[in-house]
Amino acid sequence: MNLSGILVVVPPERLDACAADLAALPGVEVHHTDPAAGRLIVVQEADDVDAEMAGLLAIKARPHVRLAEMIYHYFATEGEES
Amino acid sequence: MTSLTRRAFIKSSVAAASAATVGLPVSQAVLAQAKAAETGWQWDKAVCRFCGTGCGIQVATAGGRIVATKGDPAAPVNRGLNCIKGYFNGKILYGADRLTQPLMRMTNGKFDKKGPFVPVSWQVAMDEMERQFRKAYGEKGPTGVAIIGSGQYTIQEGYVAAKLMKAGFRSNNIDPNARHCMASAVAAFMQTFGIDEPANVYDDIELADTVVLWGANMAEAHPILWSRITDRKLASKATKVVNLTTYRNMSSDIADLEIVMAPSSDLAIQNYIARELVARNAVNWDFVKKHCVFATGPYDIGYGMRPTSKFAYDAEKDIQAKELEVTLGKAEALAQRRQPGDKVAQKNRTSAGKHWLISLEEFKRGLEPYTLDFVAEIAKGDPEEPMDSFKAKLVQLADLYADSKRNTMSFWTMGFNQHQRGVWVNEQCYMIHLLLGKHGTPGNGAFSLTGQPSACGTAREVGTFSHRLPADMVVDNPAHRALTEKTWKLPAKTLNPKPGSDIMGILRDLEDGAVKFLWVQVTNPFQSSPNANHWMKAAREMDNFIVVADCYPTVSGKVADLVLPAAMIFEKWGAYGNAERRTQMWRQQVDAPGEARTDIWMMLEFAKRFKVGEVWGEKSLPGLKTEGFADGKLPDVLEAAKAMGYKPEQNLYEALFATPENRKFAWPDPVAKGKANATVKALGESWFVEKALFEEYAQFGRGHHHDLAQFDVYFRDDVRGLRWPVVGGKETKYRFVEGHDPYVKAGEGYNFYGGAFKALATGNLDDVTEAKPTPIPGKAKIFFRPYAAPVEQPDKTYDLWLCTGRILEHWHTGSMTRRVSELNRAAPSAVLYMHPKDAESRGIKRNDTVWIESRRGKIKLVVDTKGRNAMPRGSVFAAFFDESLLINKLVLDAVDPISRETDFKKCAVKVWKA
Repeated sequence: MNLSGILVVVPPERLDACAADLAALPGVEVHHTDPAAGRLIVVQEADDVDAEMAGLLAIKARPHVRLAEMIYHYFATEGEES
Repeated sequence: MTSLTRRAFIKSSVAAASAATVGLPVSQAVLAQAKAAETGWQWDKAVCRFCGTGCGIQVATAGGRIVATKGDPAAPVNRGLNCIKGYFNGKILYGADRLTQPLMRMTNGKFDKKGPFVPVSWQVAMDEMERQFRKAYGEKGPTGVAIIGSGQYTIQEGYVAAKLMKAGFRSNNIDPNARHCMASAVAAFMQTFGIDEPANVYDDIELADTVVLWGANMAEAHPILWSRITDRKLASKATKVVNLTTYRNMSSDIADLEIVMAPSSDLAIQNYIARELVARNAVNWDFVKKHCVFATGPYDIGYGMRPTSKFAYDAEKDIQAKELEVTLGKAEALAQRRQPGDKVAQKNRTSAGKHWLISLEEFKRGLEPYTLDFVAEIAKGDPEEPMDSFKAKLVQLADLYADSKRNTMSFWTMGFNQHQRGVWVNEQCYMIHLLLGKHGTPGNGAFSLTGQPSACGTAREVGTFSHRLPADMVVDNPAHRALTEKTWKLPAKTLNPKPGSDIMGILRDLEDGAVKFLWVQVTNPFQSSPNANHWMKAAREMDNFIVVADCYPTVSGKVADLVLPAAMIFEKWGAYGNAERRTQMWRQQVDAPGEARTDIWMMLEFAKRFKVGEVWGEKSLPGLKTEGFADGKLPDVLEAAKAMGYKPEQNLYEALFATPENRKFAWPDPVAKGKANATVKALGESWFVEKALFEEYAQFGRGHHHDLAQFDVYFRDDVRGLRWPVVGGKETKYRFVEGHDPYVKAGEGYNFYGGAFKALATGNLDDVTEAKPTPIPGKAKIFFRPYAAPVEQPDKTYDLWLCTGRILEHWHTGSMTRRVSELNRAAPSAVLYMHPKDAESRGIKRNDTVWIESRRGKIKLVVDTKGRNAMPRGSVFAAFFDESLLINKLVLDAVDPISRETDFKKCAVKVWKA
């Protein structure tokens, strides 16, 4: 299991629409928002590293996304996944 | 807990921890939950393993493994962010094909160059290494052995490698992959300021009104710095971003002005801007008169190729011949005040770096040809763009630079450095900023970024180049050698005064049999070097022995004779120095797998096998001709060594590294906070190797403009690296500027105190007229350098430009980023970016497989006409991360003749449907 915490910055006035748009991406959950600054924390789950990277590029490519960068990377060990 | 609820729980805590890291408001309850998920984890600060930005990260370990990493919120570089490459910091340790045992080519239990790789013990591996080294060293002397090192060396690794080679084996054949990456920046710093590394800091991003990217695709190559530029643009509506590039890339997305230029035309554009600054009287004459001089150098300097066609393929010979004589084309002739068709012998190909003072009037005369019309003709890079539109953009760029009210930052990396005139083009950027008096002050400066995590901290500052000693000193300066011999407690004349072979030189030395033993450390030169077919063949078919120490099986490992399994990043103690002079350190977090060992351990064990008496006797050194030395040999210094207390039977480990002074740094040490030390453990020692060697190294810089803090300071909880010079416990933001730099006295304003090349002859644009040197202490140089055409250009046969580089999610040769633990993943491949019309005219469609061929080789690639890079007609781009698609087989091995850095950005190819 690969989990990443990602900061996404969008125009504040579009925050709700962008949150809904991001949440519709596969493996992406929107967890926290900062409406005043247009910032969102999303968590992305991906099967493998290619999917993880493709997912981030997909987030960056969504309309109105000004910035999307990873913050936190969690790597499950086998024992935890079973 | 079921796996589903556990997963939801972990996701919530990842979200909470992420929010806290970047200061998003979250409740105490949420934070408590994040903490609960991390029960049993140990967090410690560290540094990202990848590019030269130098992001601070936090690494979590549990049960002897890294379980998570995150951007360090306290790190001023990245403020909690951590780009896509940061993701690999925790993953790269656990690739399925990590090397865990030495592998040697063997037949019937004995080394055989033609044999397959067989796992062997460290004892067997090092016995053979020792035998092969002794053979090469005995036959050829110090020039017959070599190390190719790295800008990914830790500071201590680079220091051990440089000291072992230069003080021990008396060989200057050590050169880092940073030669391919930073050497042009280094030479330009030395020539312009007399001292290496930037005057500015990343903090200037938030102060800039104009940000100009010169051939640097920061959105992909430096994403965290790019996020700071993006933030600045959002925060300040007046801030403008200019992207000068040879093709539309991701950095164009937020640029206010995109200038698609022709390869190498940056030189012409810079001279146009300078001409405009003079014509508009936008020059800061007060600054220029007080703090600068004008200078130039020869134009007939060749292209750093071999001067002989002996080793060239037939197809290569026409380009190779230009090394000795060039027929000038129209643009180049006018730019250099000559006639088109003139044949110019490249007389200064081995003295390319010489330069002399010129007058302001001569400087202006040099700029005279660079009118808007002339430069636009040379520089327009997109055939579909109307000339008027392109000219308007150049004027807009000049307007931005000329505006005295705008804070202006210029950034570059490989677009300038990997350039046949890379030193010149770096210098021309300083020219612009010095003319404006906008350098080294808050929000203003010309800033050379780096590509590797310790290209600055190790390759440059420690001096793992073939011509360098620590702290910017060089081997061919007698005073520098004497100072180094004193610090290293060596007999006088132990150090070899003749610069060794640079990285392309070492590879060519393998091909012509001059180097017979090569040790490759923390790099992958057989994939990352241009014209790769030559060197792969040399490695496999010549009489030589190639050792590759690495953590994964790379292309270089495959062509080696012996592969040594190396510990990586958080499996060892280390220190890196980033592009803004910030030195950062980390503790070892986990153990390396299997029998993998630290590079320092390998070098120290190897040093134990050689005795002082073997290396400090007389040594043959072909071609040596230096005052104070007999021709062709290094002197016997054993008697002097004995007088200093050395014994001939003493080994190099004892003589150079485990000295009485260094043994005073005891292990264990409280600074470790209980963390292990693999080097010390494997040596069976009780001295703190990495700390002792850092402190020994730091003596070179303290008091000499390169002051580093004490080792322990970098591990303090409140420190996230420090920018040198660190004097009186304080870091330095702006160099050379009064009030910021402790080396600049009150009342001086500026003092460009670097000591290199600070007494020059005087002349005109063409040559020296007065040889007597004029001292220019404290001054920076404003160079005039002309436009020069790339040595290989598209023609009827090879009709397209090829540019190579890296992309966001892969780093360099991909030996780490392509090798994470997931099995059975679809391997992403490098693609060839191409203009749709160029594809169509060749009967090629998107996703077709094509052949791409240069004079040097051919490979197959898949075409992309719509991806992230939009090529202008006539140009194609490929990344070099893919080891199954070695684009470097095609790339020309021309280098900048001053810096010896390769131009990976310009060669000619043809493409057809496979």
